[in-house]
This record gives sequence, C-alpha cells and structure tokens, in this order.
Amino acid sequence: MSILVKVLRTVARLALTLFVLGQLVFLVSSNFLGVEKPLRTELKNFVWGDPPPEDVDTVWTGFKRSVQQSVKDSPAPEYFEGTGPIHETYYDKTTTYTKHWSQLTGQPQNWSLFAPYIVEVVPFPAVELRWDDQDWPDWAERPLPANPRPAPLVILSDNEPTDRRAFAHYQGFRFRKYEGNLTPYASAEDGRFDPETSAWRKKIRDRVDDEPVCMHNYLRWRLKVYAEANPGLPRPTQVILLVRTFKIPKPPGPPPWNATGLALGPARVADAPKPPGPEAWYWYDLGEDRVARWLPGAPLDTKDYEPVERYDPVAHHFERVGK
Amino acid sequence: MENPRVVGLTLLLLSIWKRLLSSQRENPRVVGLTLLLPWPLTRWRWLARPVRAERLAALRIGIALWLLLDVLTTYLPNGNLFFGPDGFAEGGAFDYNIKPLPHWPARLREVPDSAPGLVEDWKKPTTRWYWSLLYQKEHPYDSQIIYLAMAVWVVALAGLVCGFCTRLNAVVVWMLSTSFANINPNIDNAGDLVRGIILFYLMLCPCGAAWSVDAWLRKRPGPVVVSPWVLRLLFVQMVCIYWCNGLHKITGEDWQTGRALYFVLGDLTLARFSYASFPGPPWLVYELTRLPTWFVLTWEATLPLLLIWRPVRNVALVFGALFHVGIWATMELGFFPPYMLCLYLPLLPWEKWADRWTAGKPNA
Repeated sequence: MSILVKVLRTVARLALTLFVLGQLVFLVSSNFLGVEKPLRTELKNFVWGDPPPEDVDTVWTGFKRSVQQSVKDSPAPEYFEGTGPIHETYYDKTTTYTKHWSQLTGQPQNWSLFAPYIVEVVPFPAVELRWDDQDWPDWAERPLPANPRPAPLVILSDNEPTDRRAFAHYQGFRFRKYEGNLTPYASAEDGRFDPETSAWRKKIRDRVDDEPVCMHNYLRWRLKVYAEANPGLPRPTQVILLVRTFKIPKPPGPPPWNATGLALGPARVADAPKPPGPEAWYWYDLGEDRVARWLPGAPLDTKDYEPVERYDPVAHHFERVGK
Repeated sequence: MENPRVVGLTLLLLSIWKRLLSSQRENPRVVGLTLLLPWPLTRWRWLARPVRAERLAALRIGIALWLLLDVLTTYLPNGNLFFGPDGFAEGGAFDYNIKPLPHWPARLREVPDSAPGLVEDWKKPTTRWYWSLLYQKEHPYDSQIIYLAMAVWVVALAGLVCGFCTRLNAVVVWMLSTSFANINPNIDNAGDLVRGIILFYLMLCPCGAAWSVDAWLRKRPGPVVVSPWVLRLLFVQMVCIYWCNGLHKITGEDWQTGRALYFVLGDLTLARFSYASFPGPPWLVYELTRLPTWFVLTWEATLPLLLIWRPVRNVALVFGALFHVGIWATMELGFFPPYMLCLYLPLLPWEKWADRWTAGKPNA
C-alpha cells in the first residue's frame, strides 16, 4: 500500500471515529433533552409542589410529605425553573445543534409513543357536500340554484368502521395519519360534549390555522373521488369538513358495570342516534361538528386569505382566515 | 517554529499519533474502515472487536425488503395523491417544513461566500435543516418526476436486497426515502423515522460484505468481519427509543393506573379489531390489559438496567420483539412494527446459522 493511500485511509478512519463518537454524544444528549423537561417539571412538582391530600395516607404520600418538609424553607433552584446558567449556556445551544443535525440527517429523536397521555376521544373526518346557499358569505356571489338540486350528503372517512362493534383494520395507515392532522379533539369528560363553547371554538381555530392548505387538499380530493364515482351530479356549492367524534368510556369497574351519570349532556340529547356506553360496552357518540368549508365556485383570494373558511361553533357561521 | 512550546507540542502530538497507529493495525479480514480508538477504548470489546458481516447483511436485507413492500403497497399506488400536483402536497402545504436557509447559495459559484453564513444559520434556533431532492416551492413536481423517482427507489431497493452496487444503492435509497418523507411528513409515523435512521447508517457501512452479489463477485476466502460501530450505534438508538418512551410514560396518569392499553385498544382509528368484539365481559378484558400496561411501562423505563446482565438481557430483548409482534396483531400502525423489528435482526447469531448451513452442505 502506498504512503498516500495509508495516510488517506488513516484520515478516513479518524473521521469515522469522530463521527461515531459524535453520534453517541448526539443520541444521548438529544434524547436526554427530550425527557429532561417533563421529568424536571415532575420532580419540581413532587418536591416543591402542592402537598398530598391530608386524608390520603400511603407510603408514597408519607415520603412526599417528608421530602417537602425537608425543603420547605428553601425555594426551588433556578435550574428547576428552566432558567440559570445551565440553561442559558448549554441547554439552548445543545437543543439547537442536535435539532439541526437530526433534521439534516433524517434522525429526529423525540420518542414518546402513546405517552405520556392517551387520547380518550376518537375523531374521524367526514365531508359534507351541499348544493345550496345556506350560510352563504357576503363576499362571494351567490351560486345559481342547481337543477335538480341534490340533497346534502355526508361522505365518511374510509377509516371509519361502519360497525364499531365488528371491524378489522388492515390498510390505509398513511391516510389515517394524514386525516389525524385535520381533526380537532373534543374534550368530553364522562361523555358530555357541548360544542357551543369558546374552548371548542379555539380548538377549531387552532387546527384550521395550522393546516388550512392540507384541509383544502383533502376536501378537493374527497370531492374528486366522489364526483368520479357519480358522474351525473352537478358540482356542489359547498364542501364542508366535519369531525365525527366518539368517546371511549372510562374503564369498567367490577360487574355490574355502573353506567350512572354517563349519559350524554343536554347539548346532544336530541342528536344522539344511539344509546351511549357502557351498558353494554359502547363508545359515546359525541356527534358531528363543522370545522372548515371550501366553496369550489367561489375561491378565496389566496394572496390575503387561506383557501378554506373556519367554522365558529358559538356564532354558528363560517369566517375567512386571513394570512 | 521558533516557539519551543509549539515545537514541544508538535513532537508530543506526533509521538501520540505514531503510537496510536502502531497499536491500531487493521485486521486484514475486516472489510471497510475500522475505528481509530484511543488506548483505553481499544480494550473495549463491545466497540473494538469486529463482528461477522452476516449481521449487517441481515439488517440490510430485512429493512430493504420491508421498505420495498412499503413502497409497492402504500407509496406507489398513491404517489400522485401523496406527493404530486392536485394532491396532498399541493399549494405549498408543506413549505413550512422545508424552508430554504437564509444563506443557502442560489448558485454554485456563491458557495465560498455562503460558507460562513451557513455556520451562522446552524447557530440560529429558528432555521430548519430539512431537505428534499423532490421539493419545489408552492407546487409539487409533475407526476412523471414523482413516479420516475419512485421507479429509481424501487430499483435501488432491489439492488440493496441483492447487494449489488450496495453502497451506491444504499445512498440512493436513503436520499429518496428522506426526500419523500420531507415533502409530505403528514403521512409518516414513527416507523418511517426508524426506517430513515437505519438507512442512514447502512449507507455509511460495508453492509454488502456478506450475502450479496458484490461479495460473490469479490470471492473473498473465509468468513468476513466488519467493524461493529453500526450495530452498536443502532443498539444505543434502540435503547434510547424505549427508554425515552418509558420515561415519558412514567409521568402519564393512564400508564400509572394501568388504563393505557385499554384506551389504545379502544381507539377506533387504529385498533386492528373492535374492542367490543373481544371475548369475555368488558371488565375482564380491561383487567387483562392492565397487566401488560404495567409490564411495558416497567420494561421500557428500566431497559438500560435489564441489558447489563446477559441472561436478563436476552429475556428483555425477546420480550421487546414479542411486544412488537403484539402491537402488529392488535393495532394498524402500518410498517412501524416490522421496521422496529429490523432493529433486532443484527442481534441474532446469523453467522452461527450460516456456518451450520454451510457445514451441512455436501461439498463443504
């Protein structure tokens, strides 16, 4: 082997060694950064947080009380507040560098599958096609009435089972992933859901503001597929993104499983198509709610507005979303 | 060189370098580069002792076969919808993901001026370093280009499975895999991230040293060994995945109370079968899901400890593989379980089975 080849090979080995050691540092530090904040918060709450309820007396609560007693006169160090020299000097820089390296090389490291929380509501997107001018906006010219005018209809997601008690999912996970980014999640403690609240309005607002173009692309695709399957239909005037939500009941206790207090709230009694769970075990049907709308015949000016309108569940109308 | 300190330091570095080289003679049977480790680390068998190339080959074939199936069944039938015009990526839907860096040169001749600027970009927390060969601002590429890229992807994957022009094909597969992932991240799950990570390492190592057309053409006598760094980094990666999951789970109330698996199986979007169709009364099914919930939580949160002692390690790893088989059977998460199971492939003693098989042949 010539000297030049030897030197080049040695340099390559040195580069490989530095890469491997760098990767080790990257893996450990980026994963540590991913869990450091929740663990730090948990530890802070344990040591300097609220004391456990007085009527609960277990080994764990006793330990917590003694730890809190021992530090009661000293405040939490600044590290636990997320400030101080460690954060300012190392934390932010390391976060930035590891994030950029992971993006460049395609190895993101924030691992939390089904953790720390599990969703208890199950949303499916659906698409409503309308051929009328209901809730028509002032800024768009009213459509000519279609003749004949089909009745409004709702197209369900291919992922939504027709029978929730008996189904088998074996394909379509990429569509599910895409659809999962379009649907807001309702909060429905004990199966009660009232959509006419500012909290639900905010969830719709946040979701539409995050994914307006994806929603438009989804609605356009669903309409295209439906139109191809039904060539005789006129073009609908409104294509509305809905979310159909189901709630998993709280886990059952020992038999008989007590269903008291688990009925639907007053906001949805009239709409409830089926008796809710869990007697016999069943998901609560939280109903169907509007999220966004696309008007195929009256496109929005994309310079100033997003391609879809968002729904205001409190005022009961759609509104444009400015860019 | 008038400064005696500089001269002294240079001589010291040269002597260290010479000593390092003399202690790092490469094993002639090792294919590919080996690490240039400093003294105490050279004694660390876990990182320094070469391993049989069959382990890398198993990883290469496993990941390439699953990705080939993934491309043929999920990407190719929906190529235009996922990535093309009038599809999910239309209208700059994912422009937020690939933002050109402020100092990225528009033309090649600007590279020298832009290099310090790129360092500046690297230090800014707000810049994004995602990239894609298939990215075009606002409007995706035409269907022909998307399908041409997929055809290249399939051919390169076939090459990777067979081990023909392995290094080149591994680079092409990684670049296309990352390019497709970054122009529509909304269709990917954690399995696709694991796939990308494995491909990144495969591209950098001699994964075609065994069980490949390349090896057959070279006709090396005797068994082939490779430096173990890829397998070790992937092992650390695997431990990080589980351990971080475990640490996140510890803070979740659903995991502490044992309710997590109940809610996961009740999720109508991803459950393989209806929770309501499980045989037995609901309370009994629920109780049966609590035990595995705590088992998974304990296993993930204590995995680094479980891996210290070999007998426990083997049991822990078998449990890990079974855990993914269980996920596969009960949840529709696409290719997440098989991609995760690929991480276990290099841990199996492929060389023993290969030697046994070779010894059993009549002309061996």
